[in-house]
Amino acid sequence: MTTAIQRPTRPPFYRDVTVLKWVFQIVFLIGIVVAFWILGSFAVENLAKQNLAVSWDFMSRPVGFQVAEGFTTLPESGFQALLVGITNMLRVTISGILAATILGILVGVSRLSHNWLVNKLATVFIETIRNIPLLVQIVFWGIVVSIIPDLVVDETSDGSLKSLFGLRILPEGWVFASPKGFALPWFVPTEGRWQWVGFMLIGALVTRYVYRWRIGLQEAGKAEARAFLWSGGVLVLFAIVGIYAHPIMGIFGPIFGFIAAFFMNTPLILFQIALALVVVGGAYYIIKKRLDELRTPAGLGKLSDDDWFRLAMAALVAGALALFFFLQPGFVRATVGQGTIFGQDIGLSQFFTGLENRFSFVSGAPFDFSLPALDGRFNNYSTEAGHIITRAYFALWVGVVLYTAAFIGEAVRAGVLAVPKGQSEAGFAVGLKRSQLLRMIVLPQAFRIILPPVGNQYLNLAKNTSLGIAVAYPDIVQVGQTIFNQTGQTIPIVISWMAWYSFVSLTLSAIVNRWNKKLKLVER
Amino acid sequence: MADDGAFVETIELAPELPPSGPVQWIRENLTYSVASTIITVVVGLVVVFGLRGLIGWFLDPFRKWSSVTANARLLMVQAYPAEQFSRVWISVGIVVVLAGLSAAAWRVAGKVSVGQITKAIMGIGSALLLIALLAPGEFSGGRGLLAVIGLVIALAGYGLKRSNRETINDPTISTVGLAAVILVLIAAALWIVKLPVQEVFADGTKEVTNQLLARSTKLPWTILIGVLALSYAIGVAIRDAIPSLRRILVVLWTLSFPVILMVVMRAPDIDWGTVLSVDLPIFLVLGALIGYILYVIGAPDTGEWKYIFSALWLAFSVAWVLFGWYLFDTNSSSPFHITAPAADVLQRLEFKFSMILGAIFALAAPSFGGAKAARIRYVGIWLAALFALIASFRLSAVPSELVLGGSAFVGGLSLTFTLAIAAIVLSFPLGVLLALGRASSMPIIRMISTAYIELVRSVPLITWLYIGSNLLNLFLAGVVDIFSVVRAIIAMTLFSAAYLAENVRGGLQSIPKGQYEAADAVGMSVVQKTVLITLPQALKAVIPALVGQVIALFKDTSLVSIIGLFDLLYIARNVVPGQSANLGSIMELTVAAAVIYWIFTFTFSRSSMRLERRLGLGTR
Repeated sequence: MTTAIQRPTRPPFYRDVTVLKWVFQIVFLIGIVVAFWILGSFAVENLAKQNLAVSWDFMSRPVGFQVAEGFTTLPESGFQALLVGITNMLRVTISGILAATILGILVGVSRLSHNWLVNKLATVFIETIRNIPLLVQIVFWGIVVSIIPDLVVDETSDGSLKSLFGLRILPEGWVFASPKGFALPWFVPTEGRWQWVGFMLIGALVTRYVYRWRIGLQEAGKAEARAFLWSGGVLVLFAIVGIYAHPIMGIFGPIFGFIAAFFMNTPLILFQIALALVVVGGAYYIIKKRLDELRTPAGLGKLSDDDWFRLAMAALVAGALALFFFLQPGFVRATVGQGTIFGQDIGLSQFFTGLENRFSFVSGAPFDFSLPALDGRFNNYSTEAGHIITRAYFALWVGVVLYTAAFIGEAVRAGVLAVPKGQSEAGFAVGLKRSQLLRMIVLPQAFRIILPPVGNQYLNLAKNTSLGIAVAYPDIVQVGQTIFNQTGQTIPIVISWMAWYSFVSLTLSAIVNRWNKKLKLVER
Repeated sequence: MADDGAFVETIELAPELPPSGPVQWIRENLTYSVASTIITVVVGLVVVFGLRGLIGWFLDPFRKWSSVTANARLLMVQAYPAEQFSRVWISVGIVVVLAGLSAAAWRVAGKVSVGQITKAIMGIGSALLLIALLAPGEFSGGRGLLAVIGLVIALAGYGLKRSNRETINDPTISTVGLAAVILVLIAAALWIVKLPVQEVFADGTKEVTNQLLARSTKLPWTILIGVLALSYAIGVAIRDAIPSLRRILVVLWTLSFPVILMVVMRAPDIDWGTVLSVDLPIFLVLGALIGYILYVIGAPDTGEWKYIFSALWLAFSVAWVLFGWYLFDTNSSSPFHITAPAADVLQRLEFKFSMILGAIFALAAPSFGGAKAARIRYVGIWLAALFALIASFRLSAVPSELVLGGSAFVGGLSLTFTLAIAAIVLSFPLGVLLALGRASSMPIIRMISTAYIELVRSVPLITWLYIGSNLLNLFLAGVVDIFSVVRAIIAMTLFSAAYLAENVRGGLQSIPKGQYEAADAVGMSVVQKTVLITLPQALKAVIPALVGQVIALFKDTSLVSIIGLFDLLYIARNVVPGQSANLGSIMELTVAAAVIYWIFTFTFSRSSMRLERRLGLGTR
């Protein structure tokens, strides 16, 4: 009795799915590359017709325009102009995220309120804001500021705003309002602020330690935690003590100086080798991790196409980066600060030199309270005193904050409603009060559901700041547009935009994902 | 007598009604605790002062609302030629007819309870009363009258509600009747309401007077309301006779947008001689020839030669287009351009693209062929697709009859709609392909799709619009000159496709593995599995997300005003306030634009919520 066990023979190549798939993919890739190559050649040809060539020269050359606001209004180079745009964009994004989160939570909670009036007000707010394009809202707020009457300064008035909604509550000289924007009193940072911030960073570390210590005590059953009270108290203590004690942070100055000198004086080749080692090591780690995942007790399983591709890509990218560090030493040189990037000295070495100069035992309060002032001429605010909120900044900020808050409010509401009802009932059953129930049972679980959509809204807020161009807010898009109107260098500007926004998106989503992961681990 | 107990009369008591009334309502909803009372008072004060300011602003005699009413036509369709304006009405009419028929076919009519209606009446009455009481300024006779009317309406509503409470079952009335009453009221209002119009006299003085609507506005709208009612009635009459009415309507809705845009609004000047001598022969010859080939290829058991044949055919036609360079012979092949490209170039292109379409159909034929009936249906689809291709080539090539003041024949709200619909329709296939690419097992395809999706999503739309308006012409200048509206459509399509792909991917991930395995078990090919099993389920699961994206895209169209396209916002913000008669009215116009956007977006989102409930999504 013979059983003919036939080993499956490999099909001919034109019927082999693996082969066909690879052929298809390679043809597709070639097609895309060819298409881009053709388009690129057209672009070069068309630029040549206009006597232009793609060049990044404008980045190091002086620009002939003024930026409306930012850390400098007269940028020295195209690169610095774009940097001003970037910092302006970050200013709106960071403060906007904070404000939108607070307002959004308030709206979401109001939407869940049993109070009819509060509930309906929140609903009207959400339905109005969500259904009108953000651009229209930004334009609207810009117009609102522009119809404020001009400042009037005479014998009886210094021009400042004294009454709000008919109530005379504001002291004279504190708040100014005009079509140019608003001027408010502000804590203007002094030279000592960096030392104070450093002191607060140490305070934050200590606070974290205190928080964990209290939680640990409670878990061991030794004491009631009151962790928020303890850690909050420590942080406040640090802030107050820091006002007087911050000069001791000056001892870090020489350390920063040493680091700066290290970056400046170590031979470049060492950095190149170190960086190459880092990327190659990273690739090795990724490949090893993947292989370990695939390894079974019976040995290494068969690698699929996909696995091969991933491993090859990891190795390829690492190799390419390592080669790049050696073949293009300018990049590494600029990064460590031994060379310039677009004519600017902004490497690591310069960064630490800056820190060294700022941590130099300066004493005095880290912040000065300063009232706004007029700039001699009427209707202009002094840039030295107080804090100026320009018309464009106000319009963009209010627009994105309200818009994002409406969406965050809906996410908060959905998240709270998504917590199973049994959880609340169980909480009531063990005798928790309503406030305790919310704090200990519902909100922690809702937070896990709320975080992903809210993270998305943060991303949207960051991207939506680009609409500031409608009210001439000088963010990176507006500045970039001005540059390409002047120089005709569209392609480099577009590349800068893409690079910057991709960086912001990747960073934000990395933060949100990390947080998300941390919360997920708690689950089971 | 007392102890026989045989007959105990039980009296059915009506269930006791819970205590109610305004006082009880306030106690339960506004002042149920100390904290809530304080909050109610504070928020109430804020609301009262806020409303007072808002009403005062709207009724301020300095507001130039005449700038909005006088420019309504400009805001809607920019400067569409007056002598051809009936085309605009026909376009609206097509939508209205389809809406009426669809309302009947999908049986949207339902019941609405009297309780809800009384609530609405009370709301309207209280709103009128509030406006009369809160408006700042002198209390005049007109306001007193308004207050009395509001009070009467609110009390009437309340009385109805009380009397309705006595009946145990809340009676209902049909929504159709309610809609009819509202439509009649609107039609009557069109002929009665007076709106402010600014007149400029010969000596330069201006005067704002309240005038009735122009006949050219109220007559068409009245007719349209009648048409809506009529088409609904027709729909009700035929919906039982024609079982496939819904399917027919879906096809008609799909066709309506291109027909309205390219035929009705653009008013093509078609040369029928060319159509008969060029397009018809191409259609007949290719239709019959390729139709026959498809019929043969679609038959089961014809081996793998058919794949090789179709692949070679596709490669040949693509190469013919690309390397014949005829694609790049012309300087204008834009559907929005008034001039036409050289005729012979267009004919060759038309022929070659038909060949490509045929090759794609041939490649898919084995997946959708089979039995004779299936193959005949497939050939029918091929003919329809070929007709659509040839018709769109011809329609976009011929010049327009319109004599335009501006650059495009769509502007204002019509441009907003054109951009939104075109972008969502065009991005749909691209988005689905990208989603399939990202979920594919082929690494290079997946890498390219992922890179595209992530790059596009991380960069804001305004950047893509700048790329569209500045770079597209740089890449293609001298090859094809793309008109600005088309550039914006291309940018928005590419942008929207990435978001759509992510939504569809979510749907694909939600499909149980068993579905794939079952499809494999019955021996389906990859194409069959995707088109017949996974995609339909995935798309159904993500309908809410897709509608959300349509709404987002509609709002995003306002961004084209930044790159200088004449959409609703641009006309409201830059065009009308620039007219000498309307200086200083930018605030009113921006608010009007916001209201127009709000009406559409709010309606969309409410209907999508109803759609979700109808489909039973989110309840599983």
